[in-house]
Amino acid sequence: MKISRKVSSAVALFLIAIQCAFVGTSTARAADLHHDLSATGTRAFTDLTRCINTKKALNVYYLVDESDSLKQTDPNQSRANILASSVRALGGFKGVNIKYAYGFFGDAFDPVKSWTQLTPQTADAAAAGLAADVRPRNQKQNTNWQAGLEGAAAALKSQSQSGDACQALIWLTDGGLWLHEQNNAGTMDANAVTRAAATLCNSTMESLRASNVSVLGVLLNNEGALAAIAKSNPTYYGQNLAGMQLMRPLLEGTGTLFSESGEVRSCGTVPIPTNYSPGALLIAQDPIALALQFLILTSGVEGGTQVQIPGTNPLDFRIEPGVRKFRLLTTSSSWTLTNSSGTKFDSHSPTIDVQSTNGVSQITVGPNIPIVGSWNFNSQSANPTNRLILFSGLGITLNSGTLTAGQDGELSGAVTVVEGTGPVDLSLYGSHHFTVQAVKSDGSIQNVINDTITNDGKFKTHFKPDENQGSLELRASLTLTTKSGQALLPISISSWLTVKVPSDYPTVMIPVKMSKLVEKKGALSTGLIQLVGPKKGSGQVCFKEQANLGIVITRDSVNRKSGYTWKITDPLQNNCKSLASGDTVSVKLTVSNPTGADADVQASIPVVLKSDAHANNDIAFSAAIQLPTSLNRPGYIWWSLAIIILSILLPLALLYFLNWQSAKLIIGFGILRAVYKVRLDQNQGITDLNGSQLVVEASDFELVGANEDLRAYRDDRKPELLFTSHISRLPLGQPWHEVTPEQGGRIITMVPYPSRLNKRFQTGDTAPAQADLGNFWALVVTESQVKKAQERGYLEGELVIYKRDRFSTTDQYVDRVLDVVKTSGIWERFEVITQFASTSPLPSAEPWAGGSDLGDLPPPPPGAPDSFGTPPPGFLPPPPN
Amino acid sequence: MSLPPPPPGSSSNEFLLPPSGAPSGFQDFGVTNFSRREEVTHAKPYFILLCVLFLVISIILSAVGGSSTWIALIGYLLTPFGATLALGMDLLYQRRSIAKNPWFVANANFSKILRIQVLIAYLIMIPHALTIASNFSAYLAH
Repeated sequence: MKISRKVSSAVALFLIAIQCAFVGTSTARAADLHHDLSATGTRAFTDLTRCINTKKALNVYYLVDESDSLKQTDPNQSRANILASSVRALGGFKGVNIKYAYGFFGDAFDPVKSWTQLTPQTADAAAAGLAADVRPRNQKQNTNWQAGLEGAAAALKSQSQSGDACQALIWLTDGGLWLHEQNNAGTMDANAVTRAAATLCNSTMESLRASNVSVLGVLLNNEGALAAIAKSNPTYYGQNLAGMQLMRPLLEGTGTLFSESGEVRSCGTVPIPTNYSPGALLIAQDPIALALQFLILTSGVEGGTQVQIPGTNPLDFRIEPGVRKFRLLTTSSSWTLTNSSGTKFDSHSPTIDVQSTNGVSQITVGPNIPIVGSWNFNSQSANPTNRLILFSGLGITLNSGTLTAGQDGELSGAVTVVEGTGPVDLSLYGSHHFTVQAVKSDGSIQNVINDTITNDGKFKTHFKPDENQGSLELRASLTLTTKSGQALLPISISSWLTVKVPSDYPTVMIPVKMSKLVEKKGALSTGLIQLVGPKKGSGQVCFKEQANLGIVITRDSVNRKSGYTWKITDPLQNNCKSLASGDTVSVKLTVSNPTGADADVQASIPVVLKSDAHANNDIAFSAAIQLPTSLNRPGYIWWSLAIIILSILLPLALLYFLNWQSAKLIIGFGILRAVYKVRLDQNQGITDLNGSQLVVEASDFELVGANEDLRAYRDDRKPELLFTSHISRLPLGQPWHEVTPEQGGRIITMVPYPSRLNKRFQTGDTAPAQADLGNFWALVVTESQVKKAQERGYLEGELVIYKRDRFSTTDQYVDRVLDVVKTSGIWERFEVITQFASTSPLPSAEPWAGGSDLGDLPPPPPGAPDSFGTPPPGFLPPPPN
Repeated sequence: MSLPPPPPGSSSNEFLLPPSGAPSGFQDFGVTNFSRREEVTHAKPYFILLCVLFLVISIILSAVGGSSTWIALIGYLLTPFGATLALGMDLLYQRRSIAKNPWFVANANFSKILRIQVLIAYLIMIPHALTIASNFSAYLAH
């Protein structure tokens, strides 16, 4: 595994972006570099870099203060550009899958941007979006760290379930934890602050460390603004300062904000375990100083280290063998760099990389050109601040493989050149020290290699893992100094190796999965430890006799280790279970804890694997346990069911409402109606009563008049027709419209309708209609006309045709009538109606979609038939043969 | 069933003749002769496309949203609410157009397609609804 150059560069750019926020236009006070990163802070960046090199994926959450004190501490909203630069730099990461999100905190947590992929193509837009969101946000009266950090932690936890990525939280605040009283915005609620501080200290930050979230806190400690506040409101100043003091212990576990400050407070497990991720605190009391500090830090993440140089101008310095790249940071905007052969470089030289951001230039030289030798840096600025950073350009490769627990295995790898060319030659350096360490599940360290490496960078050793967890984290690191004694930054890499158990030993299936432990009195979580017999021979798996079986909690979201009670409920013989070859035995494990929390707890249970073939050669084995826990949520299931049902019913209600709204006849303007006495013949179709073609006059069509859309509409000209609209009881069913002749009789239309309405329309008492009245026509016949049809062989009736007036269109009347009489299947429809009317009663009508539009309809005329009655002979279908 | 044959001598080909003295346009049967034919407008499938967009976005959100309540809520609002609203907008658009413009030609198939899309939206809604139910009930029950 190599330390990728691309990844390192990306990380560097990312951190540069963070620092850029604080590079303002103020004069350089860069000499005041007295707020350096602490050792824990440096470890935070080293851990993050190692993680990015390993996982190639990073989730970054920006948590930004929006308290109203920013009006004084950052009156120019410079944090907007700073954070935007950071996002832009993040987008420049190559070979790393980046996702970002951001939220604000003041009175409460306000998640503004959800997790979003960041690419070089989207970086500018993302940066602009963030800056736009940040600028107006300085109106909140509280500085509620707790709400912000818990909200961001929840967002990161949620995202962590989407994939294996490194996680970083960049937390920008301009003041200490401060919460006002409920009804008095000007007075601090000391109790609330104390409670919030305790929760953050004991739970929230510890949980973030345990979850390997690197929290990089940036405190905008604007001394000028704070001095003004001290003068105008000394009480608030003191409270704010006290709140600020919490920041370092929250981030780094312990320490004080300023060296001269008093009480040292500790938060969470201190020292922070090796398998946890510490945070880092960066204090921005001087923009330029902080900018340079950040650049140094960034370069450190990339593998560079700052070396001492004289503060002269021009500046002379020497690059020694073994250094493949150097970087100059300067506040000078105009400069010349000259090498030992007299070649001059400036900001436009193509062979060197120059990046300028917010007043600081970063000049990177090598490895594309030879750099060993003397250099001269000449600045045109009066008092430039310069920093020199050296890079070895080396990386480490660890050969992954399989190790067997309790047995000597081979571990090998090499130091490689990742930037530049040429072979690795450790003899070029004044000194070098190489180590490989195994990190155990409880965070303890086992040394594997200590300075056994050849000058060409190769290393090989025998390694006997004394603990088996299925996989083992190995961390390799190389420290180097130049011949003159300049220390270069250690190179570090992590790798996970698989560790197996010898075939003549029994083993334990990992992980041991426990059921969810819910916060409840007497609640137990159970799980089965699956024991597998040796592949050959027999053996035993023995558990520890000590309290709680010696189970160690390796990760939890809250501090409740002492509350766990672990038990094995199945019988054991001297705490051991014997296993023959091929056996698989389950042992029941239970756990309880009175303290509840939403967490994915990780623990490990130590066991001893014994083989009958190797009586005195037992193997210590540590099996991982996964224990989900949750707070007690009474009624969770019922709430879930209620919400699911509601989520289904709400859109159904909307759909039903839509159907109800659209179940209206479309009448509108310019509706015309014509009635023709016609004859329907099986062969000729529709003709006039004499069997001749219909004669159409424009005057046949009378204006019906304009009307609003109606659920029921009665056209009271002869023949009178009643139109009604209906909605289906099925929300996805379409509304339908129907028409009934007021005088009784039958009505024939050729409007398609859903098959579920077959019964409704089969008798012809009622017929389907279109929603659009202008597209409607029907043939209305009386009972007597139906009876006569048998004797005559044709049906006489009234053809009612509606149309919309297409003004000034000459043929519109003929076209409309022609459309109607050309319709095929009318006779067949008549036959169907007579057939069903003779055998089936008309089904009871479904309710109207609404009846108010119709008003009080008159009752049907007396004597009007409510069914077709007995059909005349000849209309019945022939009896079956 | 069959009825008696029609009376002999009746023509079966001509259904309609122009009245005497009718304008010349009446002579040309079978041809729709709109003098303002260019004004005929057909219904457009805008809302079907909008609904498809909603469905696709919702599926993507379902795939990438994880357990995010906000993403689930957006997905839920797109499907089925968005799909139902698309159906409603299509109904409104076509109904208004019919009532106001005699030259408008409606397309009933659009609303049928949209109803099918609403049905599909209900299926796509399921993971969003489950996420919302899980997160909200966890909050409400605690």
